[in-house]
Amino acid sequence: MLLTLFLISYATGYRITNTLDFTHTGGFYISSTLSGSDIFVADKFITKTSLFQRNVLVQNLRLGSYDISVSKDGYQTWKKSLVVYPEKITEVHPFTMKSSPELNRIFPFFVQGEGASSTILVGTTTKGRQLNSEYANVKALFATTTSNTSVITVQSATSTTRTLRKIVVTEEKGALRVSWNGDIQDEPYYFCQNEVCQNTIVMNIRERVLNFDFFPGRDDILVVSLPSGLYAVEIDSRSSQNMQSIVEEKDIDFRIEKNGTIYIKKASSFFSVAL
Amino acid sequence: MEYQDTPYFKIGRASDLTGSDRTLYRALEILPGFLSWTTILGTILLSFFAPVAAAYFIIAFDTYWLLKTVYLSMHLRHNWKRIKYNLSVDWAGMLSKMKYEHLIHMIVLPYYKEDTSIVEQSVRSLLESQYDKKKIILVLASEASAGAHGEDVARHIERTFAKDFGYFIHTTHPENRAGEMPGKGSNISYAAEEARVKVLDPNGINYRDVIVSAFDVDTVAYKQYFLCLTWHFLTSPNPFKSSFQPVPFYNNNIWSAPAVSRVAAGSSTFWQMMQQERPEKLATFSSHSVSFQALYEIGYWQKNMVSEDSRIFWNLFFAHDGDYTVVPLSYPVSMDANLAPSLRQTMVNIYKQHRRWTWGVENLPYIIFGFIKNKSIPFWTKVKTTAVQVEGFWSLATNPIMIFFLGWLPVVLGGSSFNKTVLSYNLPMFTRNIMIVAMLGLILSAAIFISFLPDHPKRKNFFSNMPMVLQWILIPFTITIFGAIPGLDAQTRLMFGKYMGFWVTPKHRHEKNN
Repeated sequence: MLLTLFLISYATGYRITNTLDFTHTGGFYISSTLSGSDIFVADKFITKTSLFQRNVLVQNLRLGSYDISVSKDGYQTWKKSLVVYPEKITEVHPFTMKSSPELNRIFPFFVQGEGASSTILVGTTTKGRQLNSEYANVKALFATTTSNTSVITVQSATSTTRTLRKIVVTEEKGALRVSWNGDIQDEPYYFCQNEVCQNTIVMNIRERVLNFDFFPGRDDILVVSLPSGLYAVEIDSRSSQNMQSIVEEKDIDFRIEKNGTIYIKKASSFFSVAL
Repeated sequence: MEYQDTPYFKIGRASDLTGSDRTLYRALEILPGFLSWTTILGTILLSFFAPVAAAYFIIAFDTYWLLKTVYLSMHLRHNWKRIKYNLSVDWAGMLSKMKYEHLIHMIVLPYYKEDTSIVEQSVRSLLESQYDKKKIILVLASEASAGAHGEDVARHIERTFAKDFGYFIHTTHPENRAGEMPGKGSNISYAAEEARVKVLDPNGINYRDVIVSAFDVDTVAYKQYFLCLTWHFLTSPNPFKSSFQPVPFYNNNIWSAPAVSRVAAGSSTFWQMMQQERPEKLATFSSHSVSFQALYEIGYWQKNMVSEDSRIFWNLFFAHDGDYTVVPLSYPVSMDANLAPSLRQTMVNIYKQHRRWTWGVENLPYIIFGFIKNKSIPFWTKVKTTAVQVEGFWSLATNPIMIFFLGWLPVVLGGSSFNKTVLSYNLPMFTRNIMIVAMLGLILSAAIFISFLPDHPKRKNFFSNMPMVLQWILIPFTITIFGAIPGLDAQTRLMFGKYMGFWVTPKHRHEKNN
């Protein structure tokens, strides 16, 4: 009986302090998509993620705010301050972009090299060359404003609304708002803090938003095109929203293909982004 | 009036009673299934409506299961050592200073349509035993419904072996007798009475000098079994208020049986070994021994129900107002593991056999009803016995399902609010860790299983034992599919009054390996 009571208390988050008092604790559940990244909580190294273990449960944390960081060589560091509540686990979904994502230009034509083992992509002449179907597809992609990952539900001269599942992102006059359109019990984690939920999140982006879409495979990160470049921005506003650069160049437009590839357009050239 | 003279003494089912007795008995038949289904469905509903409470219950349940596993593992280890010791004892030497020549062993060997070779192997083991064969009565009990086959087997056995025994009798249990259910109980009861009339009485054999061993047809007695049994009979404080229970090893065809059959058989052996260390909770099972005097006084085994092997203990228990025990012999008899021509059929047979074994739940209403009607049994004996029996049948049907399938249910059904709690994250980890600790006991299981294996008929090296070690990873599968589910099946049938008849386990041997 005593053992059972002890195990239930422990499982619920109660801990015995050095002074033999009972204290409530909580923790973080950190779910990283990047293997080989280092996870720190309050500057203390927790673990390095691996191919088979990208998630980590950090328990035994007392009430309070903790700095969490996720870093990996060659990638931008993600940092956030989040609060631990008693007997609760705070979900954390970090993201990290490469410090210098590789851009692969998409040429309109390609030609088979002699020996048939090499393919040379050339861009300017048409004689004896074969049309690159990927170029044609990307060109068609940029001919519209539709997205292959989210649905544009409303588009007018002054605002654009994209919806992914029931997450609605509205851009109006260059600012973004995110709201939830589904059942309250299914609301994504970043709308709520200790069971207090908000209906709308205003994205804290200082520049004017030129274009936006959901990051491939994520419903908590947006890809936004700003005058200064292309960025990935997290929706989670429980503390400051992380914004990481994808391409820091001016006058960039982008589209996201159904397979999750991000294509950017610089002047009249197209590139795919290797994330 | 003695309880055995009451109309309740040999109840088979509720319909054997009338009026309020019938209603009460029927309610008791519903009880075990009700408890098991309430646990399983209650956990599911609680996971949905009160996931925190469900999580608390699952953690408490896991803890109980872990402690029980540790406790039973200790018993298993102790009985293992006891069996090894008993197998090394010179029982003839132990009896040398005792007077036992007056004791006669009556072996009742019922059979139906089993192959002659199976019956013959059992009979040969009796001849190879180290007890004076002239002090052995062999009762070969066939069924009339087996037709000519029964007669052919009996003729062969009689022709070949009868002269080597002190007494030999072949009985043929008639069909369609009023008030009887076809099966082992009715057959061996008929055989015992025939033996009394045709062997004991004409030869002036005192009933108190006869020890009856009711063996399954595939039972192969170890060489010193009857010496060991005799010693325990003579040293028992009250041998006429005691049954004697060996440990069944399913070794006759163990090298031919598939892994799933070996694991199921080994698990049954382990359970019996654990029970041998808890004789206050032990009832007779399968092949067992009891004095003829005790049997005669209560009219032998019940003929109107399936689980006669355990029911005989409860009959004797109530006849003696609770003053009746089982003496664990901690000595083995060898029997057949389930084996059929195909793996699929083997698994079907294992399931059916275990469902028949777990149909022993039909004893629960008999026990509780007897406790209500028999005022001579001490109150705390009733309470403890009822608790042990109820817990036993409930845990058989629910524990594996709870442990292996329902531990994660609150996380799935509990909703987003519950899934943000520390409890929801810890629950699967607790269940997993407890299972890992409990599974460490499989190492002990593998070691014990190998220690009692007969030599491989063809090869004897390290690698021949490897499958016998690796097979134990099937435990989560076997204790659920061949333990909990047939147990739940049997309890549900009893709950809805779908009474089972006796099912004869087909015996099959691969001749090249045995």
